[in-house]
Amino acid sequence: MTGTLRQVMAPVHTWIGLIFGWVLYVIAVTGTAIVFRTEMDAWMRPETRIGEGVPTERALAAAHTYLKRHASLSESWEIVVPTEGRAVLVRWFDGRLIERWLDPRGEVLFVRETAGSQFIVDLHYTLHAGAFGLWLVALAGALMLIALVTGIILHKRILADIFLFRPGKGQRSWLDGHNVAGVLTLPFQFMIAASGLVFSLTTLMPAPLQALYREDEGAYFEESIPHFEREPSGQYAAPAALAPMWRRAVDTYGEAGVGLIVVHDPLDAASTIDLYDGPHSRLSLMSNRLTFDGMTGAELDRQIKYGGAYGFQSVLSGLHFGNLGDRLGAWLYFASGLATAILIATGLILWTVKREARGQAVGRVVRMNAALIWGAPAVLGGLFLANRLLPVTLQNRAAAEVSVALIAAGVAVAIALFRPRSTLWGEGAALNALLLIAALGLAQSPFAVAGFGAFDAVLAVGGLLFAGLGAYLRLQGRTT
Amino acid sequence: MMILSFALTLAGVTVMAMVAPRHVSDWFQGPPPISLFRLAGLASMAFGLMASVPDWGLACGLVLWTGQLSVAGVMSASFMSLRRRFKGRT
Repeated sequence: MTGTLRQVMAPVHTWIGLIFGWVLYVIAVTGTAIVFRTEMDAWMRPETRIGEGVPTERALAAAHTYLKRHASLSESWEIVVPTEGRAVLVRWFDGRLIERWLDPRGEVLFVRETAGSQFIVDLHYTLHAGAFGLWLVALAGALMLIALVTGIILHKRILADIFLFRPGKGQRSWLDGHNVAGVLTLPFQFMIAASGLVFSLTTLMPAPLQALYREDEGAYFEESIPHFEREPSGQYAAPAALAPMWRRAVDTYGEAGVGLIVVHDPLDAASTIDLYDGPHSRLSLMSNRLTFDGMTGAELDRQIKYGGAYGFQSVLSGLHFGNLGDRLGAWLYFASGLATAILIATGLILWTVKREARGQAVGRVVRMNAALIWGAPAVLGGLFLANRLLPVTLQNRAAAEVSVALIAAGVAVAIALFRPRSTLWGEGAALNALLLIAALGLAQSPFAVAGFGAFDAVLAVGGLLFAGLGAYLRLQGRTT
Repeated sequence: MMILSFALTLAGVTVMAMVAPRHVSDWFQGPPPISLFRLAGLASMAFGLMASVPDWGLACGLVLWTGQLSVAGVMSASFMSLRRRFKGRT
């Protein structure tokens, strides 16, 4: 190997950055969006808003009564405890998974079918390409760590110029932007790439599990997440009321409250009921559990401490989610995710700017960069717009939403491929602004069922950012 | 406490940015006592960290403070850049 360390690292950084930058950009954009997953899902199902002031105990009792009447033969029931002002979701298995949204009286609500945030989550960690996608995302994550280390080595004045951004100076400005976005959020970049890999640890590094548990990998999870189990008796018994168990769990969990209730062998004399705690401020993803006797309501078991390898993995996975500090963590992760997307986008643009300055023809790469940089967010904007645009009673509505999202991305790609280079950057940003503002507009129309919520604010901020960026790029006549 | 934590962190980061080699002449006529400014900046950032611990605990507080540090850093860098522009320097 010849040359200084920097000379050796430069091509590694450049080529990992260009080739895997495209994959990483999609991961960064989708990851940034799903920081607001809870708010997004509530926004995409506006019919679940039932108004404030309904006591949770009453809503749970109504849900319990509904399940007793309609799912008496099922082996287990799940009741998702609603956040303030939202409907209760109940689930059970009857040959297939059945889900119903219930109002506080226990009446079934009509809720539009939607792809929901799950579509974006799948795009984030598998690119919707199954096991192959998961491995590709993992490879990109591992290579991101290499790109970060080589980037640090390449940066000559990493501490001295940490705050330096000089706009309007062509290649120099793109490099400054790339450096500022990367260096100032470096702890986040390392954490998010490493914890993302740890998240799929058992898939990516199955050898230790296979060595210790042979063919039965499920045994690892059973040991890590102990459950209280009891054989059904086959005897009918009238179930105990949920409210006293719920109150007991709320006292134990404090601020977190109860998030999920699972009833095992309902209506059986040996029925048990698990109450898990809700989302709250802590690093670990693990849920605490209290188990009660389904007939007497007496506490049988509690699991509020975990440890060992699973605990380690859960803390790192929790770090990836950033569900901490109420919603402060979400906003900080959103800002850092945005910085990651900017880091990757400026890196991609820098590749072309540098080569064009040397007189190389890189027009195709410029267009591919633009297609990706504006196409990835257009998928999200298209999905949100479709959620409000399509008739609520449409058959296969979730799939139709995804089709609209892909059409929106297709338009962004077409702009990038066929419009003149002086206008394509501005138009790509304008398309994204249009999608978000149109979705917000439809959500706020007089016929809309829900008011202005947290996710409407996120759409407004996103739409204005894209609009401002589009106007700026159009005025500049950016050709990079 | 959350606002105090961010304010202290932002103040600390901004002081560090003011005495960075390429920005120092934007803010000071002669050579300032750089070490003193850096010490003050670091101390303010450390107090920012301390202010985020009582509300969130050490583990979450540290993570949230690191996030605030990044946001404060980007804000300071933008501020430095805008000021240079405003003063007609590039």
